Amino acid sequence: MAMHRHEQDIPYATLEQAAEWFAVFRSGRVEDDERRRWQDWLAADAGHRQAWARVEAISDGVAIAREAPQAASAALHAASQVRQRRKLLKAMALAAVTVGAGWQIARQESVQTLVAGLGAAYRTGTGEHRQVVLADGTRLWLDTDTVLDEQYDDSQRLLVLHRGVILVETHADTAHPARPFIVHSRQGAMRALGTRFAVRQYHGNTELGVSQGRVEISPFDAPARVIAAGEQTSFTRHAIAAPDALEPARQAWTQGMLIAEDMPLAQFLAELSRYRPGHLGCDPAIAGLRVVGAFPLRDTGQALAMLEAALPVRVKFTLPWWVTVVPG
Amino acid sequence: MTASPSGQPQLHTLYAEHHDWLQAWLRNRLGCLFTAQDLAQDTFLRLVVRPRELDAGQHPRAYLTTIAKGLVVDHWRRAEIERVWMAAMLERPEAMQPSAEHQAIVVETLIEVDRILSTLADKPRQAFLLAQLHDLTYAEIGTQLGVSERMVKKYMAQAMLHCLSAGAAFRAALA
Repeated sequence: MAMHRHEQDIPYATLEQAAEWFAVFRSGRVEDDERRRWQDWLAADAGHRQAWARVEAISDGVAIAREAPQAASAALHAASQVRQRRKLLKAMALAAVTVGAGWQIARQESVQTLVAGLGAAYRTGTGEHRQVVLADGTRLWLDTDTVLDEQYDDSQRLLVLHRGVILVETHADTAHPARPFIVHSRQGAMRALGTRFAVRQYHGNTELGVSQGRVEISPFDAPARVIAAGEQTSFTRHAIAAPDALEPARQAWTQGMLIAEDMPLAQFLAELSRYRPGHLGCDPAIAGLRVVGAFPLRDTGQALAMLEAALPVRVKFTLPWWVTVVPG
Repeated sequence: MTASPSGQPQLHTLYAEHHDWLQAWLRNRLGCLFTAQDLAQDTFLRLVVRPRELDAGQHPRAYLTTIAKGLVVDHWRRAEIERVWMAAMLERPEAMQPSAEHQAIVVETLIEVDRILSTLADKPRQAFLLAQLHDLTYAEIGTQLGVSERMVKKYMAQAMLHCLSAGAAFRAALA
């Protein structure tokens, strides 16, 4: 590979020595005699000097990101998450070959999710928020970390939600006769009956809130039920919960806001963490504190600062991507 | 850069027969025509640079998609790094925002750092980043990672050796 071009003249043993010297100097505690030994080492061989120049170049190169270490760490962390998903997918694919027919449904769901993450038609990253207009004029809002497939054909307008949250505003079909509009989650199908509604995919269930029109839910292993405007419910493959009154605040994310109306702090942080890479945790002692207010989702740092101002809590940044809220 | 003479017509045929299909396949995954065009070109470019992969006894579309999948993941990694970095910069007051050119250099650097360090073990990687990015002392890093200072020093040497042997080339180093 091309990358070996630079190093082919420098023996590996020399690179090892250069790396050791780097570790010595970076410690910040270098004795005089050690410094002399390093100078002797440099003077002894042109290859040593060449290796040392490479060490300095690498060290200086990384240092350019030092002006904003938190942003740099968050960016690297986000990239490693992309890679993790990829790795997991490979492992799963291998397992599928090995296990063969004994392949379980639960696994299949995970694979489906992972495959979707790599191949879906619409996808948002952590903290991202996207609006899409489909070919038939249907408008979609994708919340943070959402994966969605659009599978329109002659017989139906099908959306498959693999992960995350969508808000749908259907449009009269451009095709004649009009095709049904259906959203699939991992627990069942939702058929729109002229409408605006939001769907959220949780691990074991799906949540549906209907603002306009009606939606018919057909869980994969249970009878169908129609949910009317102003209602919300959640369902598994086997059952639909009794509908509650719709909380409009739950759709505030389409405006880039998280609205908390007397929300427990732990739940608030769990919501906010969906918009932020890394860990966002809470000291159990204050998990039950109540949060009230409207918080910006596009700037979770500001949302945390607002939280600190409103409640007797302190936001502790152990590492840029490891944040804990503790008693203030 | 040379492709083997026997590889040349083969590549040409491959391109003619599979380029449009591959581009459609990529577009379906990425949801963006322009990126799909770029990555389809990159996939074939990869075959020019490493013609030996052409000899594999697979169906051409199978290895084209293998290469393309790797490029898609790379593309998303780059996009994530760029997105997160840019978002952080936008949160800064206008006067403190670096120039677009400077930002591009930093983003390229981070992509290279990510590429190189992704194949390094977790603790040496963290130690290296805590030292080089966050300017922590060995004692502080030891506390963070739950290891001795001596161990941190070993990690630092290990990480640097990894960068050296992987041929890390950061933009800033060339400037």
